[in-house]
Amino acid sequence: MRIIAVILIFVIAFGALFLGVKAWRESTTVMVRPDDPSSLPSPSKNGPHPKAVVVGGTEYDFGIMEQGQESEHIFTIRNDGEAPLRLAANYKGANTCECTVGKLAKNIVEPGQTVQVTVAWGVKKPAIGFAHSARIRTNDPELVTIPFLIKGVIGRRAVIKPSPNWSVGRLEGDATVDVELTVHSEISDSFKLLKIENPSGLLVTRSQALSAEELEALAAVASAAPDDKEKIAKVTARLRAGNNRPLPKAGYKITATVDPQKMAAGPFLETLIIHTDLSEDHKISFRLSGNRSGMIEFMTETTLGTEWNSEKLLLKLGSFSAAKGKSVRVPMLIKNVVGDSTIQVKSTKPKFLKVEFERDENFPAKKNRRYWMTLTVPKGQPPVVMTNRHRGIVTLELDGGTKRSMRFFVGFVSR
Amino acid sequence: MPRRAIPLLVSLALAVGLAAWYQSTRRPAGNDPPGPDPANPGLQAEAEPLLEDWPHDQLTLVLSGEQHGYLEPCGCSETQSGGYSRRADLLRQMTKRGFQPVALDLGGLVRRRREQSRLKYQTMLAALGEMAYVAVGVGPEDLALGADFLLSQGTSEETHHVEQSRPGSESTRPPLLGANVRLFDSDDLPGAPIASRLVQSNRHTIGITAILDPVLGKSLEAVGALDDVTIRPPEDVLPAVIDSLIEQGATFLILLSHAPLENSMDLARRFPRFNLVLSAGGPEDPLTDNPRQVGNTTVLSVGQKGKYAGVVGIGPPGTRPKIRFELVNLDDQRFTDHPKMIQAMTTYQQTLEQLDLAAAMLPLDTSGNRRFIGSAQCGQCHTKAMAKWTTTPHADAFESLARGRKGQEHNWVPRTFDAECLACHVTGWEPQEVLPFKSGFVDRNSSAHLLGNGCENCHGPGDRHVELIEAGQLKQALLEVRVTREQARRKTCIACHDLDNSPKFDFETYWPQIAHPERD
Repeated sequence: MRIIAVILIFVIAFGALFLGVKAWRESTTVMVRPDDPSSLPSPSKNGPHPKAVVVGGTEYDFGIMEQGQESEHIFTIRNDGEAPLRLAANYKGANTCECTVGKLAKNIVEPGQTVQVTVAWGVKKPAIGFAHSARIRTNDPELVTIPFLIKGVIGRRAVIKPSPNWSVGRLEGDATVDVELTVHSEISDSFKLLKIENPSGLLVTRSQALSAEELEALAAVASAAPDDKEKIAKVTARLRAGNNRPLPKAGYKITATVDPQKMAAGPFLETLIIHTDLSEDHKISFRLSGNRSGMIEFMTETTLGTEWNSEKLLLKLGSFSAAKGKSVRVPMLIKNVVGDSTIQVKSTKPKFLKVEFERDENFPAKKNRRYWMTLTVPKGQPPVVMTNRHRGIVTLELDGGTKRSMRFFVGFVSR
Repeated sequence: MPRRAIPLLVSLALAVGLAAWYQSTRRPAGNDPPGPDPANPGLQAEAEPLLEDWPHDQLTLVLSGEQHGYLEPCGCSETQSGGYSRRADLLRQMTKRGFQPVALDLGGLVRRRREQSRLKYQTMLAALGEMAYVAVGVGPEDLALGADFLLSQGTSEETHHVEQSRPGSESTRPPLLGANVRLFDSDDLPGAPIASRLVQSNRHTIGITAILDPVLGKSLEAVGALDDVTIRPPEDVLPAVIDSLIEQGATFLILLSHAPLENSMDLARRFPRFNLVLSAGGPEDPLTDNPRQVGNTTVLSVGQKGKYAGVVGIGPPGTRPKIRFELVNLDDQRFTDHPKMIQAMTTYQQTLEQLDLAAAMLPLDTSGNRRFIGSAQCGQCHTKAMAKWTTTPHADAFESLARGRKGQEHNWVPRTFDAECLACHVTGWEPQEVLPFKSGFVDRNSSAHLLGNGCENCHGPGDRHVELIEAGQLKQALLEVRVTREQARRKTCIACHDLDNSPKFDFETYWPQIAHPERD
């Protein structure tokens, strides 16, 4: 009897203690497991209900921020209802792109009380503006989800205009081509251009600081022509007033000159690395692509089993037996040849490729020459795959009146 | 055991049992949550409701746009929203619930202008066909793929009535729409974007047209990317298109407006006969002020990167049909992968491998023509740093592309030939431009020393450093590879750990995980 009484006392005491702790915990916190939607607050069917009111609105504008910068804003939620307001943040899917983090000081807000929500944002990516949200789930039937929206404008330390990637297209002739670009800062009022590096040494560059007028024209470039001063003034005034787009504060104009005669035939990609004092070891890159015409064209549509890609300067022979080899005879045009020039094969890769030419003496064009080219993959060579990455290369040389080195690529699969 | 201890132990056992029973009967947080939905056990009752109380017999549109290359959920983090697979699942769920969704896309499928972008565009257009899209607009990025390429992607369908197809039915590539876009200065080229289309669904005859704002093409025009493309002012073409659609019996007019939001609203003002304008140029997450009303025209945005799908319900034809709108966040709580989209992704990755596009890309020069030497060579001297690196996910970055992250392995499609993934998972690439450097990674066989996100991705190519060390110029050698904490915080890490691909990245949290001794 005594034993049973002791047991009962212990059970009652333990149970009371457990339920007391439980009630105290539930009055101050809601257990939310981020991956478990069933743990989120949801409204009661019968009431009484809480009423969530966001003091000062759910939207905040951070203004201009720089990439790498972090900032935060505190929103306040007040419970104007009759029941405790339960809140959950950072549950799965709560934050768009997980870019904002809503931190709750407490999960349960008694009627009449408030809670602060900190929404933090770090600029990780260059963009003009941002607008992201962090959502809070509540048990208010009229506001089950509160979307906090933060937005702002991202100012960049250095920007290349009109684009960090530029194409000069196909370079047919030998005349040089100038490419103009600007580099400016939306953060610093002044900076120095320390060096413009072109690792290949094929481009020639010159630079000049942008004047105040040119900076304004740059700001308005999307809406006004560079010489339309009236419109430029109007647009920049509007941009300043709108405060939703960072404006250029200082910058340089850079001219890069491409000399087609220096470029190898085929597609090219050149880089300018612009070193500035905008920060320690600061540099920004500009990439210039194009295609140097090889001065060679093959007329393969008349020839079965071959295909010419003039953009890639690639002559495709298709697939054939390595034991049997393959030989094709294709008409070839060499452009802009003057005087008495002869064509010679300087090298081939792989070495076993054989290339022979026969000039079409009756071809009437004055500046262009036509040849019949016989390209042979001799029989009995080991099987090879000459594709995009491991292409064959034929280098030719014109001598005499027109001295020029030319090349084209060969693709085939021998089995 | 002393006899006196028995009551104490029994009491404790009872108390623990009581606590366990209490815990098991405890309800999920919330006052009175409904139970699970027996009709759809896959959906948790507490997940955000989807099209709750929407009538099934009304015209229902599913709108998307400005995907910008995000075939999968934005970035490579599994917690992100979006992706074609979940969108296909949304359409599947809607169809299962009795809706007959009519799907439209604004265009802007891709972001870059490369061979891989063309392949991705083809993949995405085919996938939209699988999802039974009835029209796709063209964005400036799509046009920049080349007029000839776009011609090869378009259908040669003329404006005519069609029966609405449903997701799951036999797929056809959806027609491209662009009323003010002309290719090769010709109006009647087969395959070129068509001006408009009529689709019938739920008592409505929907007239759909699309425009591209010339302003959006300006930057691409400047670099010669829009050769052979003419973009006419929308106001020059829209009146005739609207008249034609109404003449053919359209009861509901939709404009897919690839234009900044303000310009789309202006078009809504000037052409009030449009019932609905889907606009580009809104925020990535258009959660506020969306939709907007301009007179009788509803103007709405669905964001960027395909994180959301906009679902629009339209009441029966009348003078002013009632419109309801829900911006559906394509999260992983309510939506799952769709087998056809997994197949599309698999085919895409296999084609990348077959074409070997990553290896054939033109490489960039490095500053000072420095060359990458590989982490193993760095580790010969920096043994402690190497020991640390091998324990980090950076070392395993390439293999993670082959097998998938933990928890993703079951339906993982290997991406070891995808330049857009390789850029941050190998050594010697420019991550944000997604381009290899000369001497950077090419493929597993020829660049085994550059697998993973190695030392040189943060410190720069190492050949000059080695040369300087061998020449005894220690100070210059150090400067050659020095990365300050501030440089790392502000620039280096976020080149890969950016908003899309590493949304939880926090420098102060992540840095200690890779911090290593400078020298042995």
